[in-house]
Amino acid sequence: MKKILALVLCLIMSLGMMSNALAVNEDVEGKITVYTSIYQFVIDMMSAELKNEFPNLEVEFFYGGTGSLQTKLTGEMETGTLGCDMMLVAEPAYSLELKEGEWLHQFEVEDADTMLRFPYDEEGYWYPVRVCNMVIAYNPELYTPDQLPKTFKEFAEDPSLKGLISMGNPLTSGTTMAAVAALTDKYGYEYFDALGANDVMIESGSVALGKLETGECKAVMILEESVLQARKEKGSKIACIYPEDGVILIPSTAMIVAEEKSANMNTEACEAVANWLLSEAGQKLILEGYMHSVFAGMKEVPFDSVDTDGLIEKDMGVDWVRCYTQREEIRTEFQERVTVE
Amino acid sequence: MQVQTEKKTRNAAEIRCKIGLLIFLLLGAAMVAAGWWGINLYNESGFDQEAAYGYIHKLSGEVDRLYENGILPVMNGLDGQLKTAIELRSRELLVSAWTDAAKEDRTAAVDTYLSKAADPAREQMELLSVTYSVAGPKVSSKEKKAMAALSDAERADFRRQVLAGVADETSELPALASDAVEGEEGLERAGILMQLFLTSVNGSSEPLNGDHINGLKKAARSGDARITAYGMTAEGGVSWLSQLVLSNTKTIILAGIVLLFDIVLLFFLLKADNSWHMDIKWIVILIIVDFLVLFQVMPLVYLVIKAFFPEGSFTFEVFKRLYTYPMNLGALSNTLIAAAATMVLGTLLAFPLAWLVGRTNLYGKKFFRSLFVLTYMVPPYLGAMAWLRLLNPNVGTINVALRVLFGLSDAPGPLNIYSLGGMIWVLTTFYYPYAFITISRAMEKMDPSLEEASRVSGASPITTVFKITLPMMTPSLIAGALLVFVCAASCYGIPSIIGAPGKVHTVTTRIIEYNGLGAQGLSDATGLSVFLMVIAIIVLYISDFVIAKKQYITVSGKSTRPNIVDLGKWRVLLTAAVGLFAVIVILIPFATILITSFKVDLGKPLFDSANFTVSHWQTIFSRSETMTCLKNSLVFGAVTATVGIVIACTMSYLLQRTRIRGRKIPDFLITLGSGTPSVVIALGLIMTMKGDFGLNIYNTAYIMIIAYLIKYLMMGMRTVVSAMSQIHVSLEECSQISGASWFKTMFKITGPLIFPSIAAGWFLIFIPSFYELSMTALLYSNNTKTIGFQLYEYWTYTSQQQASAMAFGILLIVVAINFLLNKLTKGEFSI
Amino acid sequence: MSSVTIQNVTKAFGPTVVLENFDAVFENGEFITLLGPSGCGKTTMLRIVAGFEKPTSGSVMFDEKVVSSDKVFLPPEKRDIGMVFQSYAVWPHMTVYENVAYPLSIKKVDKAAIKQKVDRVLAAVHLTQYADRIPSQLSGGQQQRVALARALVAEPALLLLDEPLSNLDAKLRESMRFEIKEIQREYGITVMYVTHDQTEAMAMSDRIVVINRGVIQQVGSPREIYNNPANPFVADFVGKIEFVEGTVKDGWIELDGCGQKLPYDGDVKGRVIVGIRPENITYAEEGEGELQGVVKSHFYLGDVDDCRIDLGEGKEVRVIADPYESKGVETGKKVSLKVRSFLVYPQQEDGQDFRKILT
Repeated sequence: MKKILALVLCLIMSLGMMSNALAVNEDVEGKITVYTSIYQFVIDMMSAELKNEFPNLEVEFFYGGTGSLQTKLTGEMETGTLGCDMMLVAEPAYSLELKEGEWLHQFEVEDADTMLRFPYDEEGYWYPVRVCNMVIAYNPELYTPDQLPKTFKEFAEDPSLKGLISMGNPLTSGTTMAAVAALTDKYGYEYFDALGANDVMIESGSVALGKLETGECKAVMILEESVLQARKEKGSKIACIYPEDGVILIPSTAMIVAEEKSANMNTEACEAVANWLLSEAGQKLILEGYMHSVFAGMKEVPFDSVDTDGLIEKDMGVDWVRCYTQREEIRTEFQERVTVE
Repeated sequence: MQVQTEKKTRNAAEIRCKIGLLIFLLLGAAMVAAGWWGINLYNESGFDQEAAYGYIHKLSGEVDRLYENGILPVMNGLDGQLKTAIELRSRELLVSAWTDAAKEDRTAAVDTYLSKAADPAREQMELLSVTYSVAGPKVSSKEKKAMAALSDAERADFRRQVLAGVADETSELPALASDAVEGEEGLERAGILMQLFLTSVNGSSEPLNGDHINGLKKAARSGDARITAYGMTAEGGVSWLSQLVLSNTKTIILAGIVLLFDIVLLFFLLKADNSWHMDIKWIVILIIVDFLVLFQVMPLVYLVIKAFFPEGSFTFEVFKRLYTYPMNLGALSNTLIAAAATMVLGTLLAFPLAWLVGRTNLYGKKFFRSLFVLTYMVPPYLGAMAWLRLLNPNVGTINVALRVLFGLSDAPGPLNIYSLGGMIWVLTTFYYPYAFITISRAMEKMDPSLEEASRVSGASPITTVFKITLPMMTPSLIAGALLVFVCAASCYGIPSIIGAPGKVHTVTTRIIEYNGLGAQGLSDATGLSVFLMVIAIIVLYISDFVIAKKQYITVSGKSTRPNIVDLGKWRVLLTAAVGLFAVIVILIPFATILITSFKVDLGKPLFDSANFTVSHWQTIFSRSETMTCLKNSLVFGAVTATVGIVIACTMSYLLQRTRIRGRKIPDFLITLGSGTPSVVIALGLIMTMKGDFGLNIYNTAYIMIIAYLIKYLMMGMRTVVSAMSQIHVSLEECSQISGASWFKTMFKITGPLIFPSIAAGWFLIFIPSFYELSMTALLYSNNTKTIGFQLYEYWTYTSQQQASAMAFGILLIVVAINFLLNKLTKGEFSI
Repeated sequence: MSSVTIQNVTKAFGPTVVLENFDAVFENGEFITLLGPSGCGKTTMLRIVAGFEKPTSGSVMFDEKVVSSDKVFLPPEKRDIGMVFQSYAVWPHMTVYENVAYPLSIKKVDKAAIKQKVDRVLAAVHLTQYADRIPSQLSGGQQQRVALARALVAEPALLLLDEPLSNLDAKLRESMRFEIKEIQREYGITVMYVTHDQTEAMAMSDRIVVINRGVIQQVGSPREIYNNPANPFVADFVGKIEFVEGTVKDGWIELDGCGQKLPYDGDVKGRVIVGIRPENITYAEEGEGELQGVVKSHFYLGDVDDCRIDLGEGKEVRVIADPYESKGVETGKKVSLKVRSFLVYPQQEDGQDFRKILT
């Protein structure tokens, strides 16, 4: 039964996507370690499906928050070898950084240009596999939408929100970093001044959601997936505002570690997994994980979110190169304008 | 005459001992020299081309040897006919290529060789492949894929041709091979071909399985003379000794240095003691000193050096940049202010509490004592989590209550936890137990007749406290206060949860922020760490050397019960006050956490419809990850505590039963360790324990256990030291006269006598190791996640409710263990 | 100066009774010693008088004032006493002067008066030149004298001393005994002294209270205690004595086992315990003494000869004699002993062996 399933999956894979010389799934073997910040329950599902797909492959997922993983990787980079073979974490700026540091392995995904609706590395060093979405969340049981900001600009500038807003820390959260990069692109560093003047609280998403529930915060800048998860799993009433001055879509990439610097030196298996992630089956799991799919033309959305293509149209857009090259500057500006009196 | 013989035997023993020392000294020097040779050998020659080239050419003269030691083992594992066919082919290739032999010989030879499966030889072959795979050119994935696409027969053919090409450069190669070697010359070509040969073997059913190859590749990747060693071994020319040296150069150098250091130290120890014979206790002492020097001194020194020499040349740049940055200056001053305030408040709280609970007839003394110690048993950031709920300016429970009570205007306020004051409050509530425990213990040990003498002289109990008790307790007070200061200064959890939202930064939060910024960030983090280290050292100096000189505590010989002061009409009032304090500081926060863990929606009251749930608890304990983390924490904590208490016992013996000069040094180091901020310890270990200095324990459980040991060893040591100081040395001397060795005496006499203190000390090391966060966050790996760290992850990335459930779960576990230990030691054990 | 009246004091710690029906009156200016083996309750009694323990029942009065009873309890600081502890309890963070001045400074006496009193008492204990030292610089004996000075400086009504000399060496003990006695006479203070050393008690006391297991055995002057001990315990505890059991018969006491007898015309009848102090036995010419025996062991101590004489069947007596008198006495020699006086006690039914006094 498992074999048939595997075969079917194979067929589906090969139908639309790519012709991979390594089409025989049983040939994919050995072991790989994947660092990821995808939710644990998604990992559990992924593990199961990967076991079906690649019965001879042992995939070890190591879950950590983006900040934790990046810290860990920094430490490992000092040693010259990473503890993983593949990373499903963070956003293109981080991928650019790793690419420049010659940590990544090049691989091909067939028909990437037609398959994906988000940018990917032309040279094949990274591809987006899932999309995070930075929005504004609020608690409709305590406040009505007209009491709340409709744009990111209002979020920072509306004085009635002073002391009642919260966001992540761009120094430790890649997605927040991307978001503020986009926002300062659009509004300049004065945006940071506004945030600072509005006494924005800097903390993690989980803490922020808690504060929405208790009413300590009125509006928080947070990833949509956190809200969707709360809504689905806890029946929470927290809702999203898709800011009119633009949502911030943050694709999260799959990167394979260069063979000689990886833990298990099994780039073939990594490629297989990466390709699987960019298949129907993989993307379905992404949707279950409350994130949007990277497939062009995919109409399905996570839980009760809104149409992805519609979001893309409204995307504020992140200049990934700037995000990476000017990271120091952005961080410093943020530190000084927002987190200091 | 007798005196002369005695002298002679003494001299003989002395000479023997000195000779022994000299031998080991030379051994150590030899090890260092050998390692040095190994490094140079590798550095100079890189990959030993000559040797490898020579090998290949020797192939022409050593068919059998190659076959037996080389190719055959590789092919062992192939099964049945395929194997025979291939091997016949290869053999044929070789034989026909270099020697003519009869078919019958071939078959016989095959049978003979098949019966042998020499592992070392196999290893040789595999490592030869490693040689090529690292120092030689690489075979790309494309080529691998292409070969995998070949049928077995095609592959075998390929191999044959490749081997031929190895021997004869003019021989025609298969297309794939010739593509690969195009343009390459000499060794490169041979190397590529060998690589292709081996890869092709590997492409079908593997004689070398994946794990094998990976392991070897990893080994090779550490890029040292190991490769050369094996390369040379393939020639058959290098002895096993050189092999050993070459494959472990750095470790051998390190071991050699350690040995030299030990011998010199031993020399001085023996000299000072004036008894020239080896005793097991010297070995034990040396081991401990080695441990401390390797894992504590070296990383710290490395950190300091790195801060001053970021790129190799001495510079103050890093420091200038870091310490003139306004945000950092702000963080520095916040840290100092917060630590100082916590110290003062904590001590002001701890002393009266200790006195009330230890010296008066307060109601429920025992209960309060256990309760106050309770907060020691949970991670401090738990307090932060709870107080956040209670005192946030917008909807904090207490704030809301105050507003209602006093009819104040709406939010925000009146109290704001997101401030320096808020941080100080939480720090105080969680660190005052350190002072409390220190002062309590000292108070218990104080000779009660000193206070009685004051009473008899006409002083009331209160006057006695201020004129006699307090001045006599001053050293302990200061020790407790300084302990609180250092702990507060190096705390991370509380400032990160409470300070950050209020724009209050501390050195620890800045260090973590720098740490996430890549390589330069790492050295910046180091630079800031130095600040904390300096604080710790200064505090330590004051505490240990200046105050220790004025130790006033006298341990009374008789076991008298301390005189209980009758509080008279104040009794009820004071009990109520203490009770109120306990409620505010302990019960309310813990209750908050518990309540949060049962809530669905944080904003709604607990007993609203459908807001109560046990799902969070269920989720946590059903996750296998939780169980793994719990197991890890228990194991790490237990190992740390056990090793720690052994060290503590040994150290306390060293300090109190010997008069060796310099015995204070390990003591100082251990104390320094406890005063060094966790972040600094972890950073130091990360940088020095990855193999650069011969030791690689990064990403293992060992590095975490060592980190915990360094940080928390002192807790246990103080307990054991004070217990041992109360055992009169004559008890041990008696045992020795009866013929017991030092070891046996420790085990059979001293040990059992101070067992309750040992148990207490064990527990004091176990608890903080169990729930530790800061170091774990930097040192964890796939297999070594702990429960403290998972708690942090839950809090930051998952959900408050689950985090609360986990936090309370930790508390229950720790309380349970405490209870168990209490029962085990029949009530004698208490913190 | 006051008298101390202890009325029917009983003290129990949980189920253990430490003092039983303690009744005693100490007169003004007396030097009273509580004497007994370790654990007999003497220190507890002292602490009750000091106010550090409360009696389970009974009362204590100073002169006419009740200080401890069911209804009243006066804390130590209000009792106007001085106390010297076994561990000296000299405060290490103060100088000698400050230590001694403490009781006065508590009472807010003015500086000049303090100086005068402190100087006086320091001179009395011969520590004037150490006034500015701190205790860690002093020897044990000196610290003890500081404690004494401190106890006396406020001229209290009652001075309590809890085995103050037990930590000093023999020679120092002797001289300190003398000094304490001198000071007591000079100040005329009532002193309550606790010790287990009977030599000390004998040398210093006006009266001795002998205690065993919480029960007063006898109260009397040293002479009374020594010459007329109320029971075998007291006889044994104070001074040296040897016991032999016997039976009263027709004007003699027939000693068990050895078949010897001593003349007796007292009132005690039946089974008795005979106690003979060594100094009451002398060597006599053969046949002239009441007892005969063989010298079992012989210790020459310089100023005396200490011998054990076997009377037969293992019954022994001890003779401590002037070496001149016992010239010629050696182990194994047959001797004749003259007994000057001896004590007779009726044997208890429970057969408690008072010969075995363990401390």
